[in-house]
Amino acid sequence: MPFSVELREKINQIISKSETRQSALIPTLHAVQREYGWLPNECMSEVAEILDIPPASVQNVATFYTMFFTKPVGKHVIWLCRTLSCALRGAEHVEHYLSEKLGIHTGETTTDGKITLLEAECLASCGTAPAMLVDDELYENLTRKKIDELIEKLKKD
Amino acid sequence: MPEMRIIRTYVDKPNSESIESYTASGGYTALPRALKMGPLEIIDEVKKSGLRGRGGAGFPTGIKWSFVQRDSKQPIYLCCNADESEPGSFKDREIIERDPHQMLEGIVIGCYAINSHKCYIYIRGEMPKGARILERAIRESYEKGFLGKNILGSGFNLDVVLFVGAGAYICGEETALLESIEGKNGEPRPRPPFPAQVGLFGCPTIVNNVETLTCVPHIINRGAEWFASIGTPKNTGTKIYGLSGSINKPGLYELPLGISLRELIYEYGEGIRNGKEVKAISPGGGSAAVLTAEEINIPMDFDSLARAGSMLGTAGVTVIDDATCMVRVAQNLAHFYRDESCGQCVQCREGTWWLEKMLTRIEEGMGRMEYIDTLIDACFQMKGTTICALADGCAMPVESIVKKFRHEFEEHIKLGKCPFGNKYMGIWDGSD
Amino acid sequence: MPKLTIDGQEADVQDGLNLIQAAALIGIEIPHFCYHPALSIVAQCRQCLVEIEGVPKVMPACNTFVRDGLVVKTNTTKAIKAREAVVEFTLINHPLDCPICDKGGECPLQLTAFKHGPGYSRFDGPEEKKVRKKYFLSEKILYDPNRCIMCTRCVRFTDEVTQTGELGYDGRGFRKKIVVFPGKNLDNELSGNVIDLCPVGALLGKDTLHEERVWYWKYTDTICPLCSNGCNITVGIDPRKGRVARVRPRVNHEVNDYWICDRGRYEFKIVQDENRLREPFIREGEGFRIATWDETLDLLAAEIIKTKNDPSTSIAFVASPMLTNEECYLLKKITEILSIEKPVILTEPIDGEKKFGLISQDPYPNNKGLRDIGLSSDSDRLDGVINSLYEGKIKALYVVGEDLFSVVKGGERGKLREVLSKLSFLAVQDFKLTETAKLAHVIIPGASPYEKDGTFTNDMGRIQRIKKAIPPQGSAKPDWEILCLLGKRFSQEGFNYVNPSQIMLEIADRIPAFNGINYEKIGMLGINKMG
Repeated sequence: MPFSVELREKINQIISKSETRQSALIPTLHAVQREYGWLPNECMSEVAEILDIPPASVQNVATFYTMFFTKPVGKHVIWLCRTLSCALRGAEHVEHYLSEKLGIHTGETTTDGKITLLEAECLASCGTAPAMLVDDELYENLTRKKIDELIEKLKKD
Repeated sequence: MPEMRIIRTYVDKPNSESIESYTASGGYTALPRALKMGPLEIIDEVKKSGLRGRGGAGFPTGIKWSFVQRDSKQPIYLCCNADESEPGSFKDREIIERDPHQMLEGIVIGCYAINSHKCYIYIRGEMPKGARILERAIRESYEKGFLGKNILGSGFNLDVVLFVGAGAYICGEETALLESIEGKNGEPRPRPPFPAQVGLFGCPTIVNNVETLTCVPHIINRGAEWFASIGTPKNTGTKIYGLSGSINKPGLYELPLGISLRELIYEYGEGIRNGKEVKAISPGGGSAAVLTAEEINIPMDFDSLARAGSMLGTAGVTVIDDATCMVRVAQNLAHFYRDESCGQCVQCREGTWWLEKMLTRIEEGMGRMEYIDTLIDACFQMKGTTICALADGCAMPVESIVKKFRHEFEEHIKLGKCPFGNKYMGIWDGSD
Repeated sequence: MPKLTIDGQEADVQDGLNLIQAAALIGIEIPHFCYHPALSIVAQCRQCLVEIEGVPKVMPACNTFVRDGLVVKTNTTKAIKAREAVVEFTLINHPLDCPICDKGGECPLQLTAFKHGPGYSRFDGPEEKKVRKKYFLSEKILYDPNRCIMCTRCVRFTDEVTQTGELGYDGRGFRKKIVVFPGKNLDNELSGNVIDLCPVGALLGKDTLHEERVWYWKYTDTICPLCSNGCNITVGIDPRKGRVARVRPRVNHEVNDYWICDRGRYEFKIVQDENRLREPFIREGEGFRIATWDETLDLLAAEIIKTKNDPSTSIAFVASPMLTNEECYLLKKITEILSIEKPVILTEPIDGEKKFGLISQDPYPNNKGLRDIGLSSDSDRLDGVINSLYEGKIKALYVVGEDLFSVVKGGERGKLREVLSKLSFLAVQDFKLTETAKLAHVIIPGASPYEKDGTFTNDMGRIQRIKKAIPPQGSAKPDWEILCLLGKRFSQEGFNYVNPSQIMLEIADRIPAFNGINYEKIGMLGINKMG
């Protein structure tokens, strides 16, 4: 599946601003993931070809960084912080609540493909714990009500 | 007692992130002043201010800047480390989201001082809002001529590029950050060579933390002596302390370096929530050795905490109440470092994994008494033996918890279960 | 020359060395896994930790470079404990399956654990060790992620040496493993070297998988005969089967550095197994019969004399660049004694850039040597042997080690077959039954290059010794021995050599290109006699 003209254009822009072709890799993977939702092998191959680097080094980077997905994820991704400050303010309780509510374990995607629940390490929201990042938005001082409303919204989307 | 707000002065103001708000409140006045000074004069001023790196290590910023060979034939890079990922640390995110131009102004002055014409701001992938705001702020700065060619008619050129990470705590380590910008795995580089000689793309590079750079315009505007007069003689200026965990009023507090931990927790944080007592404090981010309630009078500065066997780190203070199981705290942190280890050094890759396993077994009632000394010895061998300090960051809190709360470990092992008996860690005040 | 002290011993060493290298020079071994002199330094296995005076932390010897006044201590309690701890950490997730691991016996991890480890592990709960599936990185290389200690030598090899980049990592931290991109293979022509580079049994050759414990094999240092580069190799012999079991590179910075190509590594099997000649044969009707050596050589000698004495016809000797210098010399000596045309070579050396600096396009190991001995290729002569054959000028042919069908173009093969069938006499001496041999009147079984002693001169003019690793098959003989036996049938003197070393002494005496050479001087790394 060749990339769309727009995506190619975006990648070319990234390359033109990068010191080396390898250094265009992470911004390029961001751009590709934004379009596809995740990074299928074919996309990684194509990125390798465009950047003229070995596909293994694309896979390398795609699997090192947790925010790149080399397996499909739901339409929305919930990153729930599990680290100390959030844990002290109930992250494990939140995880249990979310897990029950969505009917999935952490690391899984709802059967309708809408929501993936993932464990995040410290989201720099310790002062407003517990917190989670949902797609591009941070949700802080989580309460049952906030979670209920959010999930409702995500499911409708 | 009010805070001593210098950096945080305008964070509560609506639209404080816009360039209009920043210039209206006296922003971008340090820059023209700096551009009239010689670069060496700036470095000197920063040295005199006593400013120490706010990213964790507390290295004097002026001295760091002077390591760069200014007449290098290669380009010189400044990298602004906005990868804030340290457990308990959330100060940089506020600067980025609420007052990014302060930081940008610091970047321009810093680049001018070290003769750099390109700066990368490395922001972690988990801060999409921060990235959006920074992108806008950079654009505004270009438009107003604070960035780009011939800045304010000085002949100085500077490009600033925003680089968005993709989820890796290790990229906050300066050489891993450079690797990441180069499009590789964030794996720290063995030193020597040091980044000031061989850094980004093989060129001389300085990496500074967000808060560090944000201090710079204030030093230029109000003078090194003013800055040095705040705090203690060797720990100058204000520091943004982050209070989190089992505290009544978590949040950020800008106060002079050297304020006592007790004051921070009880005056500003208003004590422990749910009527509990302090059991332990992680005073400087997850990587710092924990302190006990008895150590609460310690001054919160680089040197005092180092003397106490801990560190100021990012000054992210996580307070742990007496209803919390310390084995669980240690396990929570070990889990973090295990997941975040890049996997290069064996002590880190296997050590964090091993610590987490032992701690989990103890917590689940399957531990054995020998584990306690094994934990301490494994931690000892993880410290100072690896390429970067991530293994130390795991070993220091775990070792201190095992040593200072040994009785809790023994109790777990004797009982064959966690004496606290909580299914889930912490308390969730989940009702609105 | 910086002067430093290691464990109390002073040493003047060359600038630019790291502490592993410097210590080795004065006989102190610092254990290591990730460091390899041909690869970049990553300092991540941490096994080489030592103490440096004035430095509070233990430092990796691989990334600490010699400088004047450096005081290094490898044997302090702190350094020893640090290295013991590294062994303990390394073994936590390493399966202790040495008894069923091919690497056992030559495994750096095993040796290091033995010499530098604490001798125990406090890791409790072996059932919790990480267990992951093995998989093939190529048809020939199996990867076991459980054994892998993440030294990353293999990845750096494909990044830095071959620059083909097939290998990468999947995941980070404790999840990390070595992978190829889905659908791709580790298939560059040097790929097998990762097996040797691996300091544990994580990368294994499928061809020798579970074949034998390494200590049962016998090892011989020799030269790879499969191209003109002359890579230095060590051949492992399975004594029970009397066969070459594996080929490994032998370090020679002048020739092949640390590497060999996959052809050199795997194709000994073709040499060893396919169409081997084990007995002398004499044609009988449409087929062959097994003959005795005396009978065969007598017949060969008689035919040579007969042709030589017949002015209406002529005989040509063909020498292959597969022959050693000594053998070629003997063949030439026979033609001199008989006053006949000297042997010819039918192939040209092929120049051109070598792939990865060591894979030559010239498939013969001794084109250069044969020319130094004084032979030239056929094309130098206007009436080349093949043309003379076609024109019927040559009626008899003694071919040593060459398959004529491999030197003519495809379209000419029919014609060649016709001409060869019409020869009054065709003798072929070879170690395998070639298409040419199938048309011969007499077949003389020689030895493969793994089965005899001698020297090759590589395309850079380096004279190197090949050594007999296994005996020739059946009643076959090394070619130099056969040529001595043949020579004696023409002359009482001049062919009484006990070994090729004696032949070389004579060559050195008579041929300027070999002036002053003897086996001792050649040693195991060869000698350059250019200019």
